Amino acid sequence: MSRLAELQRAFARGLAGDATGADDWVSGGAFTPATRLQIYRNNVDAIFTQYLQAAFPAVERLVGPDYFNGLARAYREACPTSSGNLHDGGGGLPNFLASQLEGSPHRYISDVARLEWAYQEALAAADAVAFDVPAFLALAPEQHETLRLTWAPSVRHVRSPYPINALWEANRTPDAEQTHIRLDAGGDSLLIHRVGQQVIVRTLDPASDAFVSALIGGASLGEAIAALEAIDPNRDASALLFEFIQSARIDGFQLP
Amino acid sequence: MRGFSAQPLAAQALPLKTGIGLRAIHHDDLIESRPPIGWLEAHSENYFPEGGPQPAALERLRADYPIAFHGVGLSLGSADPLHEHHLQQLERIVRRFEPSIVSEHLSFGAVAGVHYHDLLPLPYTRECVDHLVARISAVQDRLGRPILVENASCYLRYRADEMSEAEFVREVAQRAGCGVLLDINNIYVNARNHGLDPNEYLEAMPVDRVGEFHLAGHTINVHDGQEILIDTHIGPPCAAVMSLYLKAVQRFPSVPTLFEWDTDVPPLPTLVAEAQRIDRVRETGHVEAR
Repeated sequence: MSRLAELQRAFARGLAGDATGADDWVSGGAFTPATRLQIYRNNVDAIFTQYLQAAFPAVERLVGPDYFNGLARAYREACPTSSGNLHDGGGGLPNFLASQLEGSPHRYISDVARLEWAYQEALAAADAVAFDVPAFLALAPEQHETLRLTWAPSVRHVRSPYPINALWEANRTPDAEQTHIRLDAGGDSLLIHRVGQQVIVRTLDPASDAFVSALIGGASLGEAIAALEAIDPNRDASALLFEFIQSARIDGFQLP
Repeated sequence: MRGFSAQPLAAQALPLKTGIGLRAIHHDDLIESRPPIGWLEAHSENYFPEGGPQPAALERLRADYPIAFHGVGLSLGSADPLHEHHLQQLERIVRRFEPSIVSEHLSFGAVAGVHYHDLLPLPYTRECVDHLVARISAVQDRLGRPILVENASCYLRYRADEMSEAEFVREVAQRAGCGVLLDINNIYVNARNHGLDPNEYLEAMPVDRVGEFHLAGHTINVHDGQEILIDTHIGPPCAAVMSLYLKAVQRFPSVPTLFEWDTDVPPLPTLVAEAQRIDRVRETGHVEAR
């Protein structure tokens, strides 16, 4: 290992709180090496925590700032990121929070975190491409059964046994009014995507949820329609499909 | 010297009128009010998204202002390999937005595959100079253009140091054929924290390499009765930093200036007023009393 690599590894140990032996490689002067490393430790913590606060405002409001600060530090240490882009750093937080809240009555907050991360991803995703309507209309009816639809890059599907959309809306801004939301008010299936610069959250009823879940799971259009009709035999799948194409949630298709 | 000529500084494309750091909370206000500032500097990583409001705003703003990209995450000084995906994204936005300047920091952020998202201090050693020269050359070859590298603030020094900070910066720039983004506040912070002579520092900088100035505010913290200056980018630069800036302007008269304010970011008109105050100082050669 190069001397530079050794020094940087020693620095990283200092950032993790282990300053033993730092006298050997840090010049002291007015402050001890441990104090100097602590300045960097505080900076690293503050930078990452501020980023997570901006990406997960509702989670912070639901858990409170003290728990959130501890969560941010624990998450960074448990799930370090290799990306130099700070904005990539929040992707593992929902799962980490779920593991922290396992068996807790606050477990719903990790699902709110999933929704907040889906929002962040939708905001930054590439634009949808134009759906090739003439090519679609030119298909023979029997081809519809087997084709696979492709979702726009911004589309995310988040499901929860809790009313996470209402929880999110009520906690997105720090000065939002206190509202009473019953956690047993029913779950949510949410389809998130971006139109222009705006992120839209669409609530899916059980039949639409079955249709979307099947498609996102890789099912053909025929299989997705069967999944929808299994929930509601009277539902018109073509209306749903048309809506998703028109709103650019679905932006292409592939034949087998 | 390798790769790029002694005219690395696309800075000629930037006006001397002070620019400001571009922050997302000011996007709409900038687009609507088009204040009289010289140019905008965007943190490269903030414009990595392929779609959505960030690149859309920059696309709109570059019609009104010259722009520069200033990276914080490439970790040029890290012993880890350069992060290929990061470089790809930087290359993509540089080709898309064609900034006047692309810059990064003389620091490291990644260690053994973990990124700390801070500008961690490098040792001023010949080994580290060699490492940086190779890395900066690789980035310049990849982007097909020279970059600028910024002197960083630091709160510790290493026993391994073999040269002064100014010698380190000069050596890297001359050998890599890159420009220097001279952060005047960082020179002042390091001078106070580590007892450097800021005037000697300026004198050591090669005139043909300095391509941009940064100005920002810092915070004075006290531990155990001893002061340490922290580069917080809060508020306007202090009078001492502005005096040092005037000396820098004398030595490097055609170099553009960027004002950064990142902690408790104020409304846009406050930033614009500070940028205009910096313009007046540069024009009159006098630091105004506040």
